[in-house]
Amino acid sequence: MANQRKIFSSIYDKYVDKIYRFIFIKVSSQEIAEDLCSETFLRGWQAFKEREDIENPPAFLYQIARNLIIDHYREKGKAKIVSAEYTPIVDPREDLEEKAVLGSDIDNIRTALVSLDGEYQDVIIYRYLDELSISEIAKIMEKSEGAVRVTLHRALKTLRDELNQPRVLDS
Amino acid sequence: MVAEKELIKKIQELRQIQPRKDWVVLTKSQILGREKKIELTPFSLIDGLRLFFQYQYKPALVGVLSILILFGTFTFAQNSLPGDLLYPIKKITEQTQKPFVPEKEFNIKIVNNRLDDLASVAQSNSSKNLAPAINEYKASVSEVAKDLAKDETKKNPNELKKIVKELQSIEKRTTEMKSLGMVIGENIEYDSALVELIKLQVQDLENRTLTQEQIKSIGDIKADIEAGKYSDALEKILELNQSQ
Repeated sequence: MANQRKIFSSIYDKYVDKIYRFIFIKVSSQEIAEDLCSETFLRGWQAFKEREDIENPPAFLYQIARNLIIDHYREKGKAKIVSAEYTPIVDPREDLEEKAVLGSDIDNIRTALVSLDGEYQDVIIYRYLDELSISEIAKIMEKSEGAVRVTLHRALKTLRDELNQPRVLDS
Repeated sequence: MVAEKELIKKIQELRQIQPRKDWVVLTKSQILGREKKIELTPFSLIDGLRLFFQYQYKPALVGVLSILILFGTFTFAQNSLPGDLLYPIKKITEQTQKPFVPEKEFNIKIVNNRLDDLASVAQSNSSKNLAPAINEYKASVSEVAKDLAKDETKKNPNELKKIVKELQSIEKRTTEMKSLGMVIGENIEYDSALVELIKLQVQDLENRTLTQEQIKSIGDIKADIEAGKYSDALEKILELNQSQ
């Protein structure tokens, strides 16, 4: 048990930022992201205790996170209702100047990203934020590597189109 | 138009989204430390004990239970009477003391135990235990008779004095039992051994310098032997031994 705890501890350290970010981008709330992220790791740990032979721990954690996000929107009836455009990013950094400079860019890209289809969001996050290899993404998404490349290409194109769309500024 | 490299760079800016450090630490301790906290609750302790007994240490549990059952049986058997199911266990327990006590003392102790049994039977008015109790008593007396018949017992006057004291106690209690209406019967072998013993004590006393009163007591002892009053005879012998 002590050994299992040690192994899972290192998995937690390695993936907590990525899983949190993955969830945060989709739910746009620090509080909800923290809740769902801790629930993801809790379920992961419980499963890990029962069966150590989890082949791909990150894939397993992403899957749990995805399911929790779906459950979250299902329960709250929020699916496709929350507009990411009106949900500001809660950046934990205290430096207000830094926030001001970076906030705008981050907000724009996040807003554009969450407006994409769920699969497109995931593939972009996996590849460019979490820096997973195509084969790793293929395992997580249960697709062939070729299909992942095609999805990634289409996702980028859609995101670019989204970012190039003219925006209506808030009054 | 946004070039692909520029787009990727913009996407990677989202890496700045990070969880609060204190939340990361706290959540980790809550998830991985939860196991330890739960283990400390009473419910988990009970569960742990159940698991302890159910699985890993089942043979140990069987061993402990067996010892407890044996201990309980042996303890309970001490109150059993002849004819009871657990009585043989009581006798086995008695026999375990045999290697630590001289044989004569041990056999006399057994006779006393059988007299205790008879007293318990008389007290509880248990007719089913009466016949077995009398038989057990007779058997124990026979063992004492065998000891008395041994040459070395007769040759040692000091040892004889000790035995006489014990026998007097037995005789007294036996007489009490008979006075309660209990038909114990006679043990010829024991009686003859007892008579011989008393006579040896009388001879020993006659070889000493005696007062007129003591000479009279020896006459009374001989009369008691003739009358079969062995308990009285032994009592007088004890009195004479004490006055010597």
